[in-house]
Amino acid sequence: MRCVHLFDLDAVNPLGDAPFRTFLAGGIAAGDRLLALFAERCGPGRFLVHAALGGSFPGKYSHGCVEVSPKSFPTLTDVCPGAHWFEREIYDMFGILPQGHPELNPLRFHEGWEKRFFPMRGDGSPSPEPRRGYRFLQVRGEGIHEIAVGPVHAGIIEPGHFRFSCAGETIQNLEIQLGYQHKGTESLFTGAPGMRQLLLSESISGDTAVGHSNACARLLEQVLGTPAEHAAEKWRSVALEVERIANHCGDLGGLSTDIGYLFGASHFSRLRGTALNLLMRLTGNRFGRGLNRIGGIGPRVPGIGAEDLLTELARLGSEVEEAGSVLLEAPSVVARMEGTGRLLAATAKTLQIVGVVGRASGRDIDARRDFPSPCFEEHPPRVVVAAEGDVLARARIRYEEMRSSFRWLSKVLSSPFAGTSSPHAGPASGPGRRTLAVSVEEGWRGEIVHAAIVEGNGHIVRYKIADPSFHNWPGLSFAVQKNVVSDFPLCNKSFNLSYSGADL
Amino acid sequence: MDFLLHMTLYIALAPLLSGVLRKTKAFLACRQGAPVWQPYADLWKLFHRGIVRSTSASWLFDLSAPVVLGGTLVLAAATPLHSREVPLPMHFVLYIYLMALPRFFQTLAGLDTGSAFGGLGASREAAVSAMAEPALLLSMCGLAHLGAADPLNMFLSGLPAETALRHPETILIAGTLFLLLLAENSRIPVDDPATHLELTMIHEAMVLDHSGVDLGMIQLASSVRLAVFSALASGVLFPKALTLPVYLALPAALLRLSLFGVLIGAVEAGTARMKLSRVASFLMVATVLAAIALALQYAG
Repeated sequence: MRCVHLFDLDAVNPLGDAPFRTFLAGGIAAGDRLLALFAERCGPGRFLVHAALGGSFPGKYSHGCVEVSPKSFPTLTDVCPGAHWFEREIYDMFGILPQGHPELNPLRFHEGWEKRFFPMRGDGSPSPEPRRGYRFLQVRGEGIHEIAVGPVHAGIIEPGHFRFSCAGETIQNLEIQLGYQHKGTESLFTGAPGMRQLLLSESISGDTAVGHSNACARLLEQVLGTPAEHAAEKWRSVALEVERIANHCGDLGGLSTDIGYLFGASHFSRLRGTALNLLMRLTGNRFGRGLNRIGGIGPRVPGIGAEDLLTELARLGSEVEEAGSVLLEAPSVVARMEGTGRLLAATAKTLQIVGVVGRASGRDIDARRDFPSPCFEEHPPRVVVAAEGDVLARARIRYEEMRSSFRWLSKVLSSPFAGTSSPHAGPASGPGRRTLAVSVEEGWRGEIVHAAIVEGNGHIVRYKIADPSFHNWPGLSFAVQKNVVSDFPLCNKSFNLSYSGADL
Repeated sequence: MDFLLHMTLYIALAPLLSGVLRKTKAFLACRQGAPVWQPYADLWKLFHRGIVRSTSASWLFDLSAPVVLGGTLVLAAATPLHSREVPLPMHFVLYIYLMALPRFFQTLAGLDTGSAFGGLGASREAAVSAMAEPALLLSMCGLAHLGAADPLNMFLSGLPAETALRHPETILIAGTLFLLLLAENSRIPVDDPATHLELTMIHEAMVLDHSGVDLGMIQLASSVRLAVFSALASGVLFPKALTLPVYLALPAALLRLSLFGVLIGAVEAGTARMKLSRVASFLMVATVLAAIALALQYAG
């Protein structure tokens, strides 16, 4: 299975600082992407930093780790800028200082938290230096003013603080301060593998329940040696695509609302509802919760036959096609979106931007093709890439992805489902050795990575989740630079990142 | 008596215009929408509420809402709605600057509370109104000239009571006034009155700190302002409606305002809001239209 990879950690020796750095720099230079960078406490006062890389060659994974002192380690952001937020996270959770990090602000624990609170550091390590407070970048000059928005917003959305430094209307710098949703999710995943992890994975980011639970289910299955059969895998991928369609519809509706384009707003909001209702009939929940079990899918899935689903999808597909072509060809809409919030291809590559936003900025990456799950290996998806990197490109990518999802679904649903979809009956056992399992899935927002370090008996000691939002939030700051303040909500909507998924 | 009828008509019909506008938008978006008398209910609610006031606000803030409403009502008193006679005839240049008065106080109030959004909205509002001024001046000038009456007095009362088709320049002036109506009343494509996004707001950002009775006054003033512009533009297009006897003129006024409600609603439903940087060229179009109208008048 190419969407999950197991590394035998017993056979791997931690690298030194310099070789680890060379490993990371070499991988990035060769065009690999950083799937996840995370620390692990492997004993009292002993810490390892793991890096998982993935290449665009189908299913190519590599892993390196380094033993670091409880105090600090040399930063890797200079050789791999995509590691920027990962290192801030390591500092916040473990209290290990990335020496030389360009902007070491707290990611999660702002003023109000205990300054020596490092939840994953554990006992037995020397007490770390107290965390310094958050320092916003100061922009100076004539006519520069600051606008502070949030963390409480004028709408039912998640909390996050945005600090703009503007010269008149033009944004000179945007600083995004998240962390208001931190809930210790990753620590909750440790322990014996079971249904608990699956349920947790569905609430990592409420709009990506299927994506995250697919990644989590496959990881647990590979670790326990109870892989799902073909039919179950197929329903998982079908649910994933229906979830993608629902969210892309919602995003196009949201973009229309933000520019005051009534037609798009009302039709795409309605179509999102239709797609969610399909997901409801398929999985029993509008957001796709309860789809997965370890080794298969839930007892009441699918609640709708392949033929009925095909008919419903065909109807939805033609409506999406019609509404999308009206929206994306309306002159006032194109004029509003074109050239707004441009994220340059070079920036996207450097920052390791993933998913829809990455593909709109010329990144030819899609986990469905690069790390295919069995169903996508059998029926490869069409990957849509654009070069412009503006709001219009991101809207068009969403529309085109929906169209190819509809085509893919009609192909897959009319082919036979082999085997049973109910959970594997065989006995579950651990991998026998200390193992790092990496599972990748292309959620609607982008590449979802779940990584787990598992003891020989199957006990999970460290679970790391990299939601696409975590990669993409820094990109938003770059996309809005030199744009006008009044365009920010539109740019933000075109990224549509999860706060919850980034604040794990 | 005439004064009372005129003012009552404006205050009574202005919220209806907003209601019709919103209903049209809802209808075109395939939604049911709120009933057309919803704006009256909103006003009633707001006028029965207390005021929450920022601790950093000064007397300027308290003064702004009454001045905004008062200034707009004076404007309404000078704009014909059901007859050529207006209770308060005035020179067109005075008229233009009376239009600016409520906006000036609104802008000050936006700056007064010291919130980032108020300042942002105030600076945008000032920019838009400055860019709209040439078009406004030229179209009023054209209007006064069209009347061929004493421009020192009543600029619309002297309008020829003929169909607009005889005078192409009247259509151009009405077009200019419609573009100005969109820009001056924070409608799409210049501003989005329905948005919840503080960072994109123009007019709404300035009134974020107002509440209760103050907000009620400001909303009523906005409705009356929209009615004033609609009455002006429709008066140019249908000058005969102003010469009808009272029992016909009142339904005609209602009809004209409703027609504009539908028209503005349709424009809003079919267009996306433009980039802030393009508002200048939008208003430039209005200015050029007004200039052509004026040139036609002098040539003819």
